[in-house]
Amino acid sequence: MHRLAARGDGPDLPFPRHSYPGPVPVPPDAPDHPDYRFTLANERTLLAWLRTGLALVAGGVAVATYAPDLGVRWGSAAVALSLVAIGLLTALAGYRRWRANEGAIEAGRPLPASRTVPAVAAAVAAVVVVVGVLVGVEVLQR
Amino acid sequence: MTAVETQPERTALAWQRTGLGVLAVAGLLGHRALHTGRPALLLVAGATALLGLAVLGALAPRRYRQVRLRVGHGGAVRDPWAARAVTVAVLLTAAAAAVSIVLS
Repeated sequence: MHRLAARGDGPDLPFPRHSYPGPVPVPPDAPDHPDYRFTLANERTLLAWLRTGLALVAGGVAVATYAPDLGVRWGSAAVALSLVAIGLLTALAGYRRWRANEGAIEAGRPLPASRTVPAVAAAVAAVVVVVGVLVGVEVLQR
Repeated sequence: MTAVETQPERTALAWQRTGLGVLAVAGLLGHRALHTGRPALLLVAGATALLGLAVLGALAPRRYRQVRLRVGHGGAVRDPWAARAVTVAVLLTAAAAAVSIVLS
């Protein structure tokens, strides 16, 4: 795992950071708060997660609006609501991840592990399989 | 030093994209309201559009000013309130989408 040093990581170091065997030395004038670049990077990651959630929500609305008849009765609404629910949970997971990262950055610890990416991928894959089955049903009914 | 100059800007652009994302969902909800012949659902779409405008027009510029000011003074740029506010806006957008799907 990539180790992030929250303090003292800056252009003032006399050598590249990776050439230090131990913890990154803290310059004597280091402020008592983490490097703002870590905070902003973490904030952008939160916003990226929120946009991923929004894209899933938009996909759900699009399914309900533009594919209202999907295989079985309620098929379209079920797929649409699943996508919206996955989007909502993705946004929540992104917020939880942001909070965990903030704690780690504040304390100068490495960022905690997260299973959000595989979880969202698995959920979307499951929805795609269901959509495939529904389209198959739709085709066979003709 | 380029990184110092561009980081707040990149973050501001990420905020703007998020606000635009909420507005895009609002647009889809508005089109859905007309498409399904339920003009009452336009209220849901309108409320979502207001959320998007709040992120794009209030949260994003407020945060950008705050970050630039604090970076200039060498202070901490953390703002849990802004993170919470934009998360709530996205959760409300998802709830509005669910309402629009169920009620038609």
